[in-house]
Amino acid sequence: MSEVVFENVTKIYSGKTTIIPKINLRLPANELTVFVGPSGCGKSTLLKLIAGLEETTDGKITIGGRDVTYAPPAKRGIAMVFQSYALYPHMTVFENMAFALQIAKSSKEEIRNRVSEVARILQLGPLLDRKPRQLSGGQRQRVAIGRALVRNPDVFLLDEPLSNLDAALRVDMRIEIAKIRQSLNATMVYVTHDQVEAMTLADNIVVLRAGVVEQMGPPLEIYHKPVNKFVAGFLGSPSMNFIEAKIESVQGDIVQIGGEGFAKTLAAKVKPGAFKSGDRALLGIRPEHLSIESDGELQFVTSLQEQLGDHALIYGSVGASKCTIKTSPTRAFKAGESLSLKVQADEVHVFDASEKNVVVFEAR
Amino acid sequence: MLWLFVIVVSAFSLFPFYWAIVSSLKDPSTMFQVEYWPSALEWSNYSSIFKEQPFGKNIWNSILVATSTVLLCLFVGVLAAYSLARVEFRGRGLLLALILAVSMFPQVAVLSGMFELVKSMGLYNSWGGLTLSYMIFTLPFTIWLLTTFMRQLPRELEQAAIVDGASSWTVLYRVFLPLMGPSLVTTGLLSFIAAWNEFLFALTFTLTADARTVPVAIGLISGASSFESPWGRIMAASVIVTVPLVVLVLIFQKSIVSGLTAGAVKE
Repeated sequence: MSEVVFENVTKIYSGKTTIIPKINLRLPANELTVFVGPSGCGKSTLLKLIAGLEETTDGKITIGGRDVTYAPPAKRGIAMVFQSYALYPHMTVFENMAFALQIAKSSKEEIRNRVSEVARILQLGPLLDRKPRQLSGGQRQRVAIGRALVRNPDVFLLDEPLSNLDAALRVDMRIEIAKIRQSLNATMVYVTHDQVEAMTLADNIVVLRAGVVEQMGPPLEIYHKPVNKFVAGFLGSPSMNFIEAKIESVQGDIVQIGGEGFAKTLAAKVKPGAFKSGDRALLGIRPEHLSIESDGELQFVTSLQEQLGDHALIYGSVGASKCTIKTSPTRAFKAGESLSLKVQADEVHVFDASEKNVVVFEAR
Repeated sequence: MLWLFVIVVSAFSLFPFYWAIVSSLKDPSTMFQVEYWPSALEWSNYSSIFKEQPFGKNIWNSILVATSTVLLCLFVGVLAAYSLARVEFRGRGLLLALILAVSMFPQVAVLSGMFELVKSMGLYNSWGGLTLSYMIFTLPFTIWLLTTFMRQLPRELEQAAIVDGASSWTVLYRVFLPLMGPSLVTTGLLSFIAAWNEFLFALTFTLTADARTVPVAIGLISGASSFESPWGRIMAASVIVTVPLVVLVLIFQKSIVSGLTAGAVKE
């Protein structure tokens, strides 16, 4: 039961560069939490703060209720898998995995048992006598995970563990990590910029921007109920369409959205007082929630089409805004063709001037 | 054409050594006849240098001084490089520049001060005084070379070891040192050669024949009378002291090259 809690944690580099302004975060015990965000958003820094590889400037970090803010890394009950694997090049796979136990002065027999047990789980048995340079990328990755598992950590930290692998291997390792996760009784924290990894592995996703938590929640909640334009645009591929629009009329909490490229107005339920008639707004709609149907709300002009076999992507514009549609395989369209798009009403997002999502989700 | 150039350059740099070998095998009476090939092999020069002076003791002194210089230098150098490459502290750049500046003074400039220092520490006329003073020129490049090399070791490697519970000391000797082989060999060998060949300090800080190192001993070889120049014996002694260096360089040749170019290009 090792919940990781950040209380008012601040991280400032060399007295001036603020990486983490002030963060409060609770990572549930025995769940896998993924930190996502663009590069430089502080996700790796947060991980290193948990690990103790970076000093906390201010605030408190607890693991399982124990204050570890100033504890050395080895005393925190954590293990970490690094982006570059960071295997000790001059040691064999066995020695790599045994290193932590040797330092902790475990008995020879205990070390052998523990390493061979982990090696069995990760199918590393035949590789134990090899040096890291004799291993493939996927094998090195498994050794790095093994080295962390051997320590039997309460909190398991992974820093972009798959980013050095090629695409095919990455899918395999992702599934492998998901399997390990099921058999492991530990809190896991996983940093990535790959949204597929985030969506598939996470119990909870934390979306970060410039050291600030934009949103935290289960993957599908983040996907379906993004709180602002940044989160909405960050998760999902292709990313969400943002269409410049205008509030045509307001009746209670129902607004009618229209503007350039709208064939007719679109109704949405928003938070009371979010808009008044004539305000500018941003309509957010994912490519898979648009369909080509006559009598739709949007006028779409095609420019390019990609056929991917199981589905097709059509790029074009609505009014002055770029727009992408994801459909089932369809006939080829000429560039410049005008299509009518129907919007799936319960997947509409409306962003106000401060880019907050003001749509009322409870109505769905 | 290029080969011709190579041959000329090699001949130019190897000829003095060859000439020394030829001269060392000549009888003193035929010393000043120009011969490019030794006509008769005369080994008396080699035996006489060991008989007429404590040359064996001198060689032993040189080995002692050069080896202790290398060991001490690598020990201090590795520790200094670790802190200079891995620990962030104020004035790190200044300290590195100062270390480099130490090696810029000509030996003569520090000679008298060094003499007082060595004497006050009671190390005059002993190998300890030489070892200590040789650190002046071996430490700066050792520290610089090792610092540069250590900076290139991935930071994540160190972090992984720290997470595994390693102390700074453990990181250094169980993770970094095994990876630094080539650079240790290179700096160690360069220090060894510098200490082995050094003349000025060795001349100044020793008094008796028993305490001298080889370069001084060779410089002070004298003939039976003041009218005789003992070239044959000087050459024989020079050949003897060059051989260990050649052997060392040949043994470590591969590591030197990889050490000197380490980090020149990104792998």
